[in-house]
Amino acid sequence: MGMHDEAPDEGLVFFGFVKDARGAPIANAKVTATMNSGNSFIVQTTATGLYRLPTFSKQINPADVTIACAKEGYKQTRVTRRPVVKADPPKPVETECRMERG
Amino acid sequence: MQDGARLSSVVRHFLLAVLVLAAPAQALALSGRVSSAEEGPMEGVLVSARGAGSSVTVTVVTGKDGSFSFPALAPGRYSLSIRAVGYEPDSAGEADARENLDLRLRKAADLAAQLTNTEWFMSMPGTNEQKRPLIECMSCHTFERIARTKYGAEQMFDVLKRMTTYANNSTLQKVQIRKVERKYDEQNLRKLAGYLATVNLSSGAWSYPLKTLPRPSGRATRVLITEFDLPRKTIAPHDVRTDASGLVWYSNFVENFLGQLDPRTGKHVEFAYPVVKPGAPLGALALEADQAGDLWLAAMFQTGLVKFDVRKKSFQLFRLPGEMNNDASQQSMVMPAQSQVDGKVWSNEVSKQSILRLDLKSGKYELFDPFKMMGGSHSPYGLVADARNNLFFMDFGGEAIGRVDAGTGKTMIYPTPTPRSRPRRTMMDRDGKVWFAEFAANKVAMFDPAKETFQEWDLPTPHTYPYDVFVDRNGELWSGSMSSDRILRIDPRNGASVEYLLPRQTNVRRVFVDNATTPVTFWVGSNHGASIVRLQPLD
Repeated sequence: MGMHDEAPDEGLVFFGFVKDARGAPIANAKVTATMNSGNSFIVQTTATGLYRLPTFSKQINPADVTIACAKEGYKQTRVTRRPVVKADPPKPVETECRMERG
Repeated sequence: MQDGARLSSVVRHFLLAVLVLAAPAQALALSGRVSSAEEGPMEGVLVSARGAGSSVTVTVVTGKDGSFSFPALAPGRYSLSIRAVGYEPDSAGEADARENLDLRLRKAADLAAQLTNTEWFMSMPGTNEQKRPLIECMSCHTFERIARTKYGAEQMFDVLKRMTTYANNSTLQKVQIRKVERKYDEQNLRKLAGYLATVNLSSGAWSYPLKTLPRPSGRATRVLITEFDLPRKTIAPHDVRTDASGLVWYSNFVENFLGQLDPRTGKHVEFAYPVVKPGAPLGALALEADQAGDLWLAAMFQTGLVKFDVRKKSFQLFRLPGEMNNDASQQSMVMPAQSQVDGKVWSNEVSKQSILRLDLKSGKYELFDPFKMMGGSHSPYGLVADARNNLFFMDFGGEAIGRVDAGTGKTMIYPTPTPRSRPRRTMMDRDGKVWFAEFAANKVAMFDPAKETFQEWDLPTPHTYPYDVFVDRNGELWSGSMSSDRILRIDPRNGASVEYLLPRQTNVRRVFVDNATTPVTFWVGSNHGASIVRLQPLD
């Protein structure tokens, strides 16, 4: 009946890559986006190390979202993102999560 | 000589045993062959027999050579019917319980009357985008009903607008009006109306050929199906389950009754529970059991949860308090399976896209809003709890499953690998894995909470719209199509699948497998057909 039709995705989008120390993509890594509230989204990276989170509410400030990555045999070294400020309309936030063996 | 004598004695005993066992079965069984001028002997024809004055219909399927054979039937006259898309019987069928029949079929005069919704989906021209909104229509009726209208776009829009005032728990036999109409986007509704006016009879005839699915073959013909008609046409069985004693219980989607059927005797009992919200649609959706074996209903627009004490045969109502209750409030789901852990029962509040948790001691409800952080449209649907009463929920409005931690109340959202999958109903297996149907993705899927990973299985027929999935004791998956009248059996280890066709139009919802029999027994309610369906695979 069209009542369930998806609303246009106007909210905040997080996407990015998980890479190793040499910059090679890491597949099947777990990426967690955690809000200040403690609620979180969890996705896996593709074969090219890419992840994309479902659309956040427009009310969410990107600064209130923490991105972390994990995979057995690796530890996270750093996470970078751009842009870092809130925009209206919201701009997609690209992150890069680096991990090294150990 | 001695050996020969012993052998013949063994053979004699064996034969005697066969005769004794088979005497009521083989010797008196109704049997025969089905053929047509076009095909000769026909495989995969469903042949149904119903005794005079009986509410039970038994169905078998013809094998490769067109032959069929019923199990033992009580003596008497039986009316016969068949299902083979494109065909109809040459003459009105009636037979004796022990007859051997030669059933001749001829081409059906009215093919459109035989199409399933899946076949309409296949036949109607248009893009998937144009057809997608139709999946809301089939909750209440067939597409044949739409295709036979003569409305132009403007009249069709008026019809669709009227439909937004109907509750989702409506059937053709019992239309229920919502206290507040569903929200809709006028532009989308006009688009749909315009599309429907191109596929109905507004121009005098259908401009497209009617396509059909193949008949069952091979393994899909080795099945016995029994339909138990319920005493009123208005009864809409939604969730069906059996208990340890073999009794069948079901929720009624449009009336405030809990139903019970004894399949051995055909005895049917209804337990009425009170109307707590006058003027709101009646009926319940989810039916679940707690560890004590007591039954729980999600009271839909009547709001709140209903517990049935199976031993005392009495109801206890857990009402949604006034400050949480609004005219659109709706509890479609209940999950009491692990309530013994912490005294809490999970539910949902559809009007707020939220999760509810009932504290049994205080009778109070807590609200969790897992989608608060998300954009887009969402709707928590199927629920299942793990051994610690942590909740897993399906986002039927979107493309994720979620977890609510019983201790902290924190939620985790896991998007499915396939976008726009619309996960619907779910169950947990013995290893704690979460199985669910991806209604809009034509897949069934498994989420492993320990590894936080998904696995998905494609269904063999497009436009299947699986509502639910059940893992049996052998690790096989059972699912049902809401649109093709087919029950699916899938081995997730190799992806092999069987599609059993049901004898009548059957709007399949929750599926259930009784693991106590060998082979297992599959049960489902015919939501629009007022019957309970039992499917017994013969292998």
